[in-house]
Amino acid sequence: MDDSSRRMDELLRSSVSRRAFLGGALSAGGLLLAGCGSSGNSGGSGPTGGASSVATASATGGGGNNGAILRAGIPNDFLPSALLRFNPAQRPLHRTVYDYLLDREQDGSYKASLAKSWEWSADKKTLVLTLQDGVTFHSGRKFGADDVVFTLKTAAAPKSGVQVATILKKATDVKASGANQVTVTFDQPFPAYLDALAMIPIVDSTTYADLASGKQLIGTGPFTWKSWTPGSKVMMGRNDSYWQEGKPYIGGIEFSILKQSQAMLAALQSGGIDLAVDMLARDAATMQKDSRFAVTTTPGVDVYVGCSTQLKPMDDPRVRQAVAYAIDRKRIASQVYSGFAEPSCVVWPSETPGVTQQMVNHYTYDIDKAKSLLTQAGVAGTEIELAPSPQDPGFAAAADIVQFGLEQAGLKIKRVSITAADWPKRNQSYDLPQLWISWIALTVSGPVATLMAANPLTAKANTSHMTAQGYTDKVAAELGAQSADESKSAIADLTNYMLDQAFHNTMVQAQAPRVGVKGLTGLATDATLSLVATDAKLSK
Amino acid sequence: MSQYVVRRLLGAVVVLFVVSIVIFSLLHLAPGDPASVLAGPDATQSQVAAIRHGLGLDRPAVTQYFAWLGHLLTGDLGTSYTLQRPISELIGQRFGSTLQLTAAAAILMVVFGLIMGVILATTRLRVIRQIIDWLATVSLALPPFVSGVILIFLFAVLWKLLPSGGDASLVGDPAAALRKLILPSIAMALPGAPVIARLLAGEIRRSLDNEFVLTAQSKGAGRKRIVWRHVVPNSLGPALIEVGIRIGHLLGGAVVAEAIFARPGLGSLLIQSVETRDYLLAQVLLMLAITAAIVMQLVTELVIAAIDPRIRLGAKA
Amino acid sequence: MSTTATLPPVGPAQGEPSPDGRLLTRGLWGRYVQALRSARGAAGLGIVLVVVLIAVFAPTLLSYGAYEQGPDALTGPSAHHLLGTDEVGRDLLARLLAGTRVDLIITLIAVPTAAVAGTLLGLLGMLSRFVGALFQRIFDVLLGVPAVILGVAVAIAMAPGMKSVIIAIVLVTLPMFGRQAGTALAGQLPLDYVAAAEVLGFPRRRIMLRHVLPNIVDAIFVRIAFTMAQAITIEGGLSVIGLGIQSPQPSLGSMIKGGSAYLLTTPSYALAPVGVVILLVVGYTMVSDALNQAVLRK
Repeated sequence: MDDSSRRMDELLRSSVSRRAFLGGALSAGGLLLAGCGSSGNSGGSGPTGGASSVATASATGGGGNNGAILRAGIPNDFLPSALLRFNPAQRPLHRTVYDYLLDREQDGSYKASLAKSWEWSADKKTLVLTLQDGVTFHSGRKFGADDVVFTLKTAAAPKSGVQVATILKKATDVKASGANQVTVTFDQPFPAYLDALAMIPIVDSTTYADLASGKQLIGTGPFTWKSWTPGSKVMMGRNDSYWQEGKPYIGGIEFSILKQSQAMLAALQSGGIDLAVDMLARDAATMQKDSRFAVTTTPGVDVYVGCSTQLKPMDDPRVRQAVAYAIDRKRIASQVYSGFAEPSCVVWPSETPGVTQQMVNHYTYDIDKAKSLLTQAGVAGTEIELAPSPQDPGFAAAADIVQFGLEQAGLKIKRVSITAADWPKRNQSYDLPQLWISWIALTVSGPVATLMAANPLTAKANTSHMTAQGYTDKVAAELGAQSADESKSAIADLTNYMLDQAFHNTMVQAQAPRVGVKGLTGLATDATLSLVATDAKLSK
Repeated sequence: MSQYVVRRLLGAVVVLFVVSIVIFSLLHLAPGDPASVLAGPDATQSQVAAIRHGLGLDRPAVTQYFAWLGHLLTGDLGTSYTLQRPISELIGQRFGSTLQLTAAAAILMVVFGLIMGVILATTRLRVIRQIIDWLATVSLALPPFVSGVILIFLFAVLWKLLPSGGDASLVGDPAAALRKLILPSIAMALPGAPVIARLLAGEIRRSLDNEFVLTAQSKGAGRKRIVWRHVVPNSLGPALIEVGIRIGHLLGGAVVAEAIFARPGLGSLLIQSVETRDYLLAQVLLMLAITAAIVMQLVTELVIAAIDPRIRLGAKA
Repeated sequence: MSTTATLPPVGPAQGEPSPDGRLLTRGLWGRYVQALRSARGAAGLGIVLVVVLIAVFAPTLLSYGAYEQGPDALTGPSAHHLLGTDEVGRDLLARLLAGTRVDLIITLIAVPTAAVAGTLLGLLGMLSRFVGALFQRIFDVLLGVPAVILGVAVAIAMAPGMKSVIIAIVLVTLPMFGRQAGTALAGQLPLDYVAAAEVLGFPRRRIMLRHVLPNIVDAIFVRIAFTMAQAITIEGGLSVIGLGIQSPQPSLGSMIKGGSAYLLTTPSYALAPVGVVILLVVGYTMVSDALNQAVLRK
């Protein structure tokens, strides 16, 4: 298990639970669960459901069945102690109990949230955020600039482990310039700072100490944190005084933690839950055939074969290109991800400005080409080590397919097993074998967050040891882009360079299926792959 | 007798002490550590160092060991590094599931073993003896991961009679909990039952030739009554030792059964803690499994010794 | 894996010494042959041999290799793939046979190692009573630890794979050999002929080899057969919890782990290796029983 930018929480998903965890991912721009509800189909009016037992259903307006409790199954337990991080465990939490300052759209534009507006100075060295008025925390305390400053400073602190701390630290100062105004100053213009603001949930500064233990989670979001039975359940109630008036529509969410994929499948089929989040792809494929449910897919995250360019023979670009040709991406998408993945050679989502279809299809499965490249390089028959990340059982299956292709092309592959306990350390010290298989979920939050925080791609040092001038220059160009156009051409340039150098061979953009009953609509996923239920409606 | 008890207890304490050192060293010498797992693969070295310091993992190993042992002895199990919850609480949540399973398995094992053993020893029909003998050989060959897969296939996939896995609260939803217990507890009980049956049968046959049986028979008691009232209770010794040891080992066996039947119990928690190098949690769970086995062994020995002085004397040699 | 170390009773560890202090070694092999000719012994040996022969020779008849992948995944049995294919389109029959070979190799390395090392360690009491007693205590403790837990401990110490599985099997099974040898030794040491031999100046090591070992040979063979069965279940148990043989190498246990996710669509994936495990374990157990009976009969 591994991932989002690799997080430990995947680690927490032991191999015992065989769920492929690519879960979660997803995309920006809310994908609505399709199909409004033929009301007869609610799988689950059973007496065991939590719906009847939770009394908060103070439905707001709207009539109908609004105010129903949404019962959702999730594969990971909550992890409040790492709240500010980008981590699969946070996906059900960031946009329910909390709000971000901004939302980032897939095309790179931003939408107001807790920050109702933002303005750059002419020299682009000062950013002024104006906050929504009249927002209160669940505790009743008024939300203000101090909370924003507190949250951003906490996230940027060295111990926070927050991936985008590198972005936040680009700011030389963050201070409250009014009750509802925050001013951020920079040495150098850095417009991509906004990307980080679209990833950090704003916490209540007065109760932050109680957050790690899960005792008190106080945010401004549409739902309130009511109770947590670790490993088992989380109850969220409706925030009746949510600042977006009239929302949310549902009366609360009951999360059941179902680590085992069979348990999640069984719960959904028997009507025990209305929604399965991050379902195992194989199970979701089965559910597509069941008319009671709607399956949505989300934009994918990067699943790749990494090459360590400091180890022979991977220092030769021809060998790396041979690897790129020997990857049967279509078979990985269909056999490992049951179709919930798009074969792609590009690390970024294919909608990213600057990415073309031609780049996506740059390398096709071509053993002959791989063979001739290896012969040219004079390395046919060489033994090469390949390690799938232990974070997701799916990576081992993908590694089997990659290994087969490479052996067809004439390499000898030695599989190395790195345990879940050891994997993070090997990453942190950039000590991976010649080839490995892993993923970067951070790509959904945009190239800047990825290039600044995901250590397979960071320019100064990365797991591929790709520190050639060509690479660092092109990364710097994207990080320094001052406009959408500049960014677009920088991305095109960088992507072509990466394809040519073939040190980070993307195999697929893997999606996380979400399966819900047909009566469930309005559910969305944001650019941090978080579940957004603010507009969800559930008719039972 | 009391001298014997004291000696056995002291022996067990020494063993547990040694085991705790081995477990501690094993986890700390192995590659990987909780700080790097917690920090995540993208973390920088300084972030990892900060977390390591925060967890106290940069202290000398000996200091860490004695700190852990000290806390353990005062009943403070510590806080899980990766899950950030008190370990006692984590165990508390999972304990019920595993206890249900092991208790059900133990009961089934004893009941099956007793019935099969008595039939094996007393039936005059050669065919029945042979069938049971065969069943015994085969079920010995059915470790939980084998019988588990067969049971799931038959009862959950093919006939759709029982759930394939998961658990439920015995208090909250007893019907569901029992349905989910049936298959895994059978799978766990299968390998033990025939061993118990064979031990019991051997002992019963020996007892049947004993004087008190003849006496009872001469008093006109029926055969069935003699067997159940007199012979079986007198023949339980060796089978009892086996039962005790096997119950002690069930906690270990639960690791596999929970994996096959997707039950979120202590076994799956153990695997998870090992994979994330959650030292404190893994240490405690490994100690728990081994302590359970050793304590059950000890209790069984003491019970038997109390019943049968010969063992006490023999053990002294 | 079967979790307990206590096994069905094995015949007396000490044979009666013949007049010259040696066990009746002459009749030894004959007795085993006889045991294996009994109905149970022959059936058990037959089962094991058939499985071994098929696993070793049949792959040459197959048109697919165990690592060869194809576009058709999880197809279920067909004329091309008698058992169907796995999730990356590999022939399940080829993998089953290769996996069986992996299990056979593991057991053939681990069990003799455990038997030899365990017996030698158990006989250390010959050299020093203290060391002997110490090792017997260690064996008791190891026997007290559930097999899975020992396996998990080994998996902590090293990366899971064939090596770690072999070490786990040795650690789990060695103590029974050691205890068996220790018990036999304890039974021999007080005997007159040992004292006499010592007085006559025979080195202890020689006494050990001449007198004690022959007395436990029977028990060792019975236990080896039984331990082969146990070793198969340990490999399976460890692989099923993910701490055993790792992909893409097949083993009976790792195929069961992989296949149990597809019981609905491709049941042959898990059920075929389950069948082979049962055959092997039953076969070895029957051989062990037959040998045990022959030993007792003597």
